[in-house]
Amino acid sequence: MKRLAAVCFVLLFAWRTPLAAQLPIRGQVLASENEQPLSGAEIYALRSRRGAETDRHGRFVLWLRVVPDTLIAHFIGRAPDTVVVSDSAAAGGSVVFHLQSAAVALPGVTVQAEPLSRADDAAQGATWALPREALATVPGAVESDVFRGLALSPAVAYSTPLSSQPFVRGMDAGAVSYRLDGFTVINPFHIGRIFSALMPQAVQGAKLAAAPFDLEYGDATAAVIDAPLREGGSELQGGAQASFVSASAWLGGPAKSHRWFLAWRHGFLEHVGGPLHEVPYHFNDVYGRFTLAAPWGPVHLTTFWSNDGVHERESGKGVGWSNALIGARVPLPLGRSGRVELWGETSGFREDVVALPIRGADTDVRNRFTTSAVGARFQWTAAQTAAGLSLELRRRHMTNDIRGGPQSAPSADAASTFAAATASVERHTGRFTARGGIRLDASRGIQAWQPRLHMGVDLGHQWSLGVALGRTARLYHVINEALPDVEEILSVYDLWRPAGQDDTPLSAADHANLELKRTSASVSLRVSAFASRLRGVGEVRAALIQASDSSFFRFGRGRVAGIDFQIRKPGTRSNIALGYVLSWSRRTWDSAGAIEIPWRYDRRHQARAFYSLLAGRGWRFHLVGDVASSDPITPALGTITLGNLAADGTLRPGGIFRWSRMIMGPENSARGGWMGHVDIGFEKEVGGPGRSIGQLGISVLNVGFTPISPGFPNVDFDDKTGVQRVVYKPRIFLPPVPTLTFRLEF
Amino acid sequence: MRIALGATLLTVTACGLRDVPGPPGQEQVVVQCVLNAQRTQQELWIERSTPAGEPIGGAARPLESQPSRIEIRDTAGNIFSFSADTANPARFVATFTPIPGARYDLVIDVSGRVIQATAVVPRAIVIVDPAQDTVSGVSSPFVSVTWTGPNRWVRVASIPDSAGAEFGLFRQWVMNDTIAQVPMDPSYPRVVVWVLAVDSVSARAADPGAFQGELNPFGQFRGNITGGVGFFGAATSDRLVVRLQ
Repeated sequence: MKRLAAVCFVLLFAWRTPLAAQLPIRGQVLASENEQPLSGAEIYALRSRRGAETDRHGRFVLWLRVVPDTLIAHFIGRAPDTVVVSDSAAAGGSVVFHLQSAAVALPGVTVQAEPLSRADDAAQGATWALPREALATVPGAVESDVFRGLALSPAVAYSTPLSSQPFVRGMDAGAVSYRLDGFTVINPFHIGRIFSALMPQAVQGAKLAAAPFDLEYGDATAAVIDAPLREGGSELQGGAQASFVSASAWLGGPAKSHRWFLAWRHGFLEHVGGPLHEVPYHFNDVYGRFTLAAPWGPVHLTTFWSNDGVHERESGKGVGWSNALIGARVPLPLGRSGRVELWGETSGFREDVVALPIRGADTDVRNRFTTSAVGARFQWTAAQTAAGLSLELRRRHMTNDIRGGPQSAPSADAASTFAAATASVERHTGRFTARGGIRLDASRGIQAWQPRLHMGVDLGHQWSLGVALGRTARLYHVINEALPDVEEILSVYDLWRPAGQDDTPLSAADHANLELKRTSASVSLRVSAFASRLRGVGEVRAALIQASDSSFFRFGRGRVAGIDFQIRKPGTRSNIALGYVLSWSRRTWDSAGAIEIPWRYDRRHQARAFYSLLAGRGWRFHLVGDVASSDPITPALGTITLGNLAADGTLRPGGIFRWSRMIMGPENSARGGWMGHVDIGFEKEVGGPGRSIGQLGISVLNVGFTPISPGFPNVDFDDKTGVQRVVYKPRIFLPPVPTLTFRLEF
Repeated sequence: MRIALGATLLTVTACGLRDVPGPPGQEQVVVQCVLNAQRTQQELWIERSTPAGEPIGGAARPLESQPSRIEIRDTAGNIFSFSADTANPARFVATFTPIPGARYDLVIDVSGRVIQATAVVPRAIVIVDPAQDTVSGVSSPFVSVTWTGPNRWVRVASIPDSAGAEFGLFRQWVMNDTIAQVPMDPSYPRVVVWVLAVDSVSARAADPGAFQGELNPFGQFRGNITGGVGFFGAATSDRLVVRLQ
């Protein structure tokens, strides 16, 4: 892999750059309604036939071959804008686009290629940028949710519809990292991970970058989810929303030459009487985004705080957790065509469990994860070539202090200083874009070199092809604590284990991704073939095996391969998107010679459909259908009646009243029936552009009472015969879950 | 398009929640044995499992043909053969006393199949307080029992002479405890208190109510037998006789 990366580097640098007259032009792409920068917008110079993409501050640098030229900017969900660059404008070197919202923003907006920059788009590879409006069309479970909206990407799946924690392309949920404005957020979920701490109204959208993602991202092996917060615009704007469980409000605007945005969501169940009164649950999410106009340019501040608590009033037993983040970015120009960004962050997660029965004993848990970092990113853009360099210094401290019974997860406490450096080079020609680079993550005694290469080709006739190769790594593991009785569903906490300590291997994965796209006004098509080789994957040993003397965790290797397919047919009134995934994900645990078995969520087939209809008079209808083949299950071979161990150690035969126990077959060697759910949502909106908006939303999750988990074996009485035998039934029954929201925006 | 979507929705809804047909089960040879270092005669039980899908009955399911060989070997090369109990076709016995700390290998030949397992007997567990084997004239509602021994799963139970039932003291097996307050009931003038140490497979196999209830709520079992199912474990124990006033 290193050799391949080196060859690509040489090829990219050796590429001869034309010496024709070149003129760099800087610019920014903003939302017209509030002048909020648009990250990921595409700009193309029609005469010079060159393109660029905006960074997270909406900035771009584009070298023009001829002047005057016409620049056109595209962004999903918005109408394109054009700017003519004259000689004088070019001399000034800066243009600004204002993009207006398109009339409709509907699901399926997941294919981003624009006709003039297909090669650039293809080189992105396995990336889905979803605006807030699209995320909000996915019916929520209790609360509308950013992470649940990521179901619009076929790369994402969930353990059940009850969980909003995504896993991406056959890799564990813990292999995904979460960012807010590019800053680290740790475990941003509310109770049971049913919904996340990110509400759609507080973000501009969400970007899912599946591996091998850009070099900018580390600390993940499967994917990075980055949600930019909303920013305050040029006018005071805000809104409020209420649902069954929470009330939220948001407001943003200018303050002299500064901008600010604040949002707060409060879960009010603790104030409600009834059965929840004795075990009240509360949560809060507070988001803050500030742009301070400093003499040298804007300073962007991102703040986030979230907390949850559910404790029994009388005994104090329960669990509480909180998140906090402060991040700052300073984008600066660097010479004629360079950009630099200085940034810093501090992020923390804390969780306290008080006397909860976990693994057979009342357990106290004190989990802490803090990380602080400073960094700088440099980028130079030439006519057809760009180069980047970044440095990052980070301090991380993770503690799992678990005091329970003999079957409890082992505690851990580790602190380390960590450095990351990246170097990249990018090359654009008319029909071809290539971007290659390398990332090094290093801590004391452990390093992870991660070469990555992305290429895109415009094949003509609206087709493009992208190829991505690369390695991702993380210097520590995030492992869901899978409880024996609920598995990872409603799991209480994560377990963090630093690589290189206590026989914990480095988590790394090599990926290949091939993506074919066709984008036209009437239909968009995307087909991806992906494969990954995983090393150092880890999980909590399955409960059944865990009760022995074997270690709590198991580590091993894995293989993932698959094809995903997505087609979207947009329309002015209705929009339909269909996705299908065929995949394999397998693991070899403990030793290289062990038998390879299916991963616990190795679903062979998964299909989804999204349909949205603008019915007129402010009515909208959304439908999501999701059908998947079963997760692997461990089958029961039969039952036995175990003996009873007497006080003196004598084994007495099990009698007629003894409990029958199942003897299990090979792990994950069977399937337990299909799974799926259909969710619907209705919205009635009054008001509109230029006026305040009121909206009533009703959605229902799993309207069809369908099974959402595979059938697992259990000793039970047969409904038909009344005889006790091994039967296979889903462990979770999910009745339709309604969600009601009222929203006002001005 | 709308008709297609509607039809899909209806179809999915109609399927509902039903039992899922599972894979067929397989009959297995079930072996259960806990070597007991306090006894000179060892017992081993062999029967057949009930295949998944078949009704679970209370009747024993002995083997249709007896094993041609049932042996336990120690590391010194001694071989202890089991013979069938004529009164119970599922029970086999051998005469020997396992040594605490020693390893034993089980080999069974049955119907052309070889079943194997290994057990290590826990080191001796000794009640050190009270130091005597019998304490008399106890008037306190509790007797304090302290022991030393292996860092293994331990259970304390008392058996009144005049009652058929046992009284387990701990809700589950313990590993780090070395002391227990054993309650005394005046209606039982003589009680035998047992402190029992077992290996992990015996702990999880032979006491499902206490040990597995929360850790294995779905009633699954995985033993340590190769070529069959069941478990081959070992136990050591010490006892204290308590006579009340």
